Amino acid sequence: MRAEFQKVTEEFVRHSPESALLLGDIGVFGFRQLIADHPERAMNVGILEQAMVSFAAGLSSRGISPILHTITPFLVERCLEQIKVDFGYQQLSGTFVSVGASFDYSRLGATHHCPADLALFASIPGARVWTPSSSEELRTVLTHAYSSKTLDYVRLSSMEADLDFSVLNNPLAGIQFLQTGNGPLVLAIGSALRHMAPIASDLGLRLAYVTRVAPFPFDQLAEHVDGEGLIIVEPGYEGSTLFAEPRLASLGKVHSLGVPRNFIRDYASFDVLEDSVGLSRRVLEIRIRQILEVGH
Amino acid sequence: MMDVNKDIAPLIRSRILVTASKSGEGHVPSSLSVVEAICASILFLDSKKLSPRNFVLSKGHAALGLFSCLVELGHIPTSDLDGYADEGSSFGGHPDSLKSPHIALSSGSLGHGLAFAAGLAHFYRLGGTCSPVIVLVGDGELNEGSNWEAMLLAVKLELSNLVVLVDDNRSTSRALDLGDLERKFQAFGIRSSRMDGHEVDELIGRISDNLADKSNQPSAIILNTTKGKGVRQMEEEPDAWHHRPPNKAELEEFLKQVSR
Repeated sequence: MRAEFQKVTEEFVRHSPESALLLGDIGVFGFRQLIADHPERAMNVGILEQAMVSFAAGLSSRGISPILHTITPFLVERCLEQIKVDFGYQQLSGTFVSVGASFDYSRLGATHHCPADLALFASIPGARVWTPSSSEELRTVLTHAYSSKTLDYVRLSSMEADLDFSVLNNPLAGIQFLQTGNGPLVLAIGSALRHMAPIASDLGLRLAYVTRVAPFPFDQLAEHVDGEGLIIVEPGYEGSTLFAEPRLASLGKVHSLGVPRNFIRDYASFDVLEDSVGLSRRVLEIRIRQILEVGH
Repeated sequence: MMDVNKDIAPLIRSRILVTASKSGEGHVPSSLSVVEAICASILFLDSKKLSPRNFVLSKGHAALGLFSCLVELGHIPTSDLDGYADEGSSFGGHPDSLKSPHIALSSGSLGHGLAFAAGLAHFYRLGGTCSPVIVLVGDGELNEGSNWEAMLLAVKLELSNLVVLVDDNRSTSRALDLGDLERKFQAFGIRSSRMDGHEVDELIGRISDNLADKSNQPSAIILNTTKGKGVRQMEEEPDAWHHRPPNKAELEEFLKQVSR
């Protein structure tokens, strides 16, 4: 996704004089030619995330579309108040693009993890929160976000769903129903689709998918949830989507399978950590079978 | 010819006191401290035919000072402050940029305004006009590290059209001593000087001189100010009055003091 992010962003910034790219000392090499060609609008501001956000808001208040990019916890958690006040409260537009997702930097420790990002950004009224599952989807989302006068958060993840993109008609459309089947409706959020697509296929489950966590397309989903309930599989902290859309709790039995709220203290490959937090394909399938067996 | 210090500043101070007393809301000592700084900034921008939105009040709790200046300098009608901080009012304890075209930033949380102003200044550089942007921060606010981040960025971008005013009313002396602020700014690559923050004409001249400088550096003017300026009781005990508007009897006495 990082390569696609660079490609789409470079195209946009080169062709849109009223845009600016601000890097928090991440992705600089990939954008080196853009920075060289447009130093006044594409810049590595350095490791000063709070000032970067307020600075971007100043630009945005005069019509410039800023794109801000750095590692997830530094972009979202470190300067959440700047985002809330300078962008959210003032209804300014901008696109925040994070890299690292929940624990993509699996060997770097919890300082570089951020499973809270989706819920935190969704806490800002008016913000749109996107978690695409493929580079193709990312392109659609970014192109849309860059050209919208809205506040958008786009989460890059190195864990892409290995699917034919044609099955996903349009990430902007809201809920996409990918498979019919039995039992509770399973809703895969963003990159959770990577494992949920094959699991749903194996178990014959009804599978829905959504890229945008906030505002959550509740009405689209609600009519498809019956007495069998809903299983949400999400790439952020468990409960993130419920936080973004509390009405989901009114749909009956709702299970959230996400990252548990504990610091991940192990250093290991992504696959090992994913397994340890219960989100690998193997463990997810076990957990879902258990839910089905106990009558969900 | 009108003398701003003698003729307008007392009117602004009176309006701050009356509005705060009537509404029961307002950080009065802070607002009294910044009267001349805001007045000078807006008058300077007026002289360049620029909007008050090129002035950023970072220390948002001095909002009543800003609103009162906007009234007395003719940018908003007096009636706008009638229901100050009450239901339906566009003006309250901190500024809201969505409620008035004269407000640059919804401030209140400290440490946002300097970087925001740097963004404005950079915008004007992109457009080629290099229009000036003036931001007012408090000395206490400079405890926030985000200000120092913003200074690094403003210097890197050579934002010579950015002027930082520091309302140095010794708010932070009870907590963190900032030491030699002039030297601190200079160490960051920002031209800085210190002056009396209650002299409007001199401050307008200093802002103008700073912007005329060809050094490609942002500049800072550290203002020696008095919290609660003009009201003896507030000057003597600024902490006690930090967020306490005067009652009717106190108002009567204070109005006499500020009109002298």
